[in-house]
Amino acid sequence: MKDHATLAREFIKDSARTDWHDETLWFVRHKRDKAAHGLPEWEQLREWASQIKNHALSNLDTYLELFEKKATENGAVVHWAADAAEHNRIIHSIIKENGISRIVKSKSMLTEECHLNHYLEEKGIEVVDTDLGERIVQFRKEAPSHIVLPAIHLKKKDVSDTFHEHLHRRLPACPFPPTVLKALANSMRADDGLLEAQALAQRAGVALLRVTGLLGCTRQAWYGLHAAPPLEKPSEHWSRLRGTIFHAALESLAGENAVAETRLIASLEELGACVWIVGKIDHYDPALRLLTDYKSVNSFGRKMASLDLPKQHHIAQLWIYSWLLAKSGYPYPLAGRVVYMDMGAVRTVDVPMPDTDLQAAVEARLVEKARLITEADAGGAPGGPQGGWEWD
Amino acid sequence: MKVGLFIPCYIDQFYPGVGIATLELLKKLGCDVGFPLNQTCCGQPMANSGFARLSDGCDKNFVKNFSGYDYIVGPSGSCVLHVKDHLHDDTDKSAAEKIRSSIYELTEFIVDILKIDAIEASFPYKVGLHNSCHGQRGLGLSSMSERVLPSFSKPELLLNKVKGIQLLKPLRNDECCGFGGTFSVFEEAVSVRMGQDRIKQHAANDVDYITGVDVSCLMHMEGILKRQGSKIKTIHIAEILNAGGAL
Repeated sequence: MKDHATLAREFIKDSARTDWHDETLWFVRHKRDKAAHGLPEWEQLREWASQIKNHALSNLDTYLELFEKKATENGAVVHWAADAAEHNRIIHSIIKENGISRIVKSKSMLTEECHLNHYLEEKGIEVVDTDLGERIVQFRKEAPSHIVLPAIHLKKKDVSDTFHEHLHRRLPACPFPPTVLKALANSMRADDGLLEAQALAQRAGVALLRVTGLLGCTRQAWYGLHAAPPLEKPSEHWSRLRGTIFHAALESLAGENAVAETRLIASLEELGACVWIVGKIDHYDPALRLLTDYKSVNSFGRKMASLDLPKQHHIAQLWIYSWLLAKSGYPYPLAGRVVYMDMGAVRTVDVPMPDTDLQAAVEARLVEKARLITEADAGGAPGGPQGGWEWD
Repeated sequence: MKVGLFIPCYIDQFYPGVGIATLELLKKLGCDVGFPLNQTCCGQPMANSGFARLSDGCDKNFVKNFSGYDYIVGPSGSCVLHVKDHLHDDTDKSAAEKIRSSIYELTEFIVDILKIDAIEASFPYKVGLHNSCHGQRGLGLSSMSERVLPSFSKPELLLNKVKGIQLLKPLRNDECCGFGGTFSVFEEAVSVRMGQDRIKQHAANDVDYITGVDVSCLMHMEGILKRQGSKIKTIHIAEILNAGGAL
């Protein structure tokens, strides 16, 4: 077998990979430092841990016998092994007595150091490590490269090739282009734009109302309406992720002239309410004058086609967005639609757009509602925010 | 104050200028410095490689040469640490113990014992400080990024007193340069690569010099810099602290 220095020399020949390996391990170190520096009592804890370790190791004889006594009382059988060879022999004899030919084995440094896998395989026993990292290096007949991160020396491609060779499977390639992933990452960060708008409104001495808040369309409002939300199946959580990915994709892929994932702010001050309205438009194509909103929905097992769509407050939402667009200098939308998506289906529903009279009525309702909310502000949001948006 | 000047063998052989700068600096700072002529290697290479018993002769010779001084001072973190941790003499235990407790690395001696306020030196260059492992983690010359303790640095404290100097910290401020004494022989490839990485982070700061308290680390990086044809030079901290001021 080649010695460490020789193997290291070969590894280092690939300079780019060496850089990657260095950065990967430094990333782990950096995470450790961040965690450590977040605990003011870190050094004290470290010292106690060190003392506990020293104490346990210095009194190992007593503790081992104590362990044997208690474990035996609890019905366990305790074996003593003087060295790795005896340890391996004992384990093999237990496997043999029970007529077993395949075992699964959890991550264990002791068995690693005793070379148990190799010993059992020579005796014709199939060993499957249950720790993923250990399993990967086991397939590759490599030793773990790190005590807690056994496969940290491998890249995704190496793992994929290993799985392909041993399991005839490949890791799927990521279905999203980098632009979408970047937008997705951005969408998960704190909403700086909204914070900035809030700060500006505060300075101007006006209330900032979000369109979703006006409509009672927030998640909190939803839970308020459905006092006991039905238990969600894991597959239904994905609908949210899907919505997030979709919005992110929309932002990154929208054409130059389209309004996509854009926050608009307009004032009601001239209309007699000390309020700014802020809303984020999913997509508006000024050329087609088509306004689209995307909703990821949780249909809780019901067929999307059976749902009563569009919701009244979603129609109101599109109308308020239309008002915001017009206030921001865009031509008033001629057509609107809401695209509802759950994990299984997509349903596009047309929303009728208001005529001139109705546009004025929407604005009047907006002012009235905004006034109600700001006047009731001391006591929180007024009851039933979803109400009041119905038109005959 | 009688100070015995301990100049490690590789400094004596390859970098005598560092020994001279240390001597001049200590004299400038008011010390009565003696240089025992029969001093040799302290035995660190043997001890570090697991052959501590082979350094018996070095230990005895060290005790013979450095007994009788108030302090022993050397411009090297690793050799000083070796003596401090491992010097033994079965025939004269108390003499060995006295030396172990009175040996200091140069910068810790100036900061902790001499407690100097001002350094009369000028060095108008961009300088990166290399924190060598033995000095930092063994002697505690500065705080370490892995520990959650107040930040300090004795070498930095002194360098900041030098006129015109611009100190620049590399990313990973206290990573090993890869020298490691015999490690550079047994694990040459890893050692070189670590040195290259260290230099890259100093070069990113566009420094003129890399300095440190250990000539051994600087020698390792100097070798790589020269092979790369780099303009960055290495210089021991004693040479900076002794630079430009009147003797």
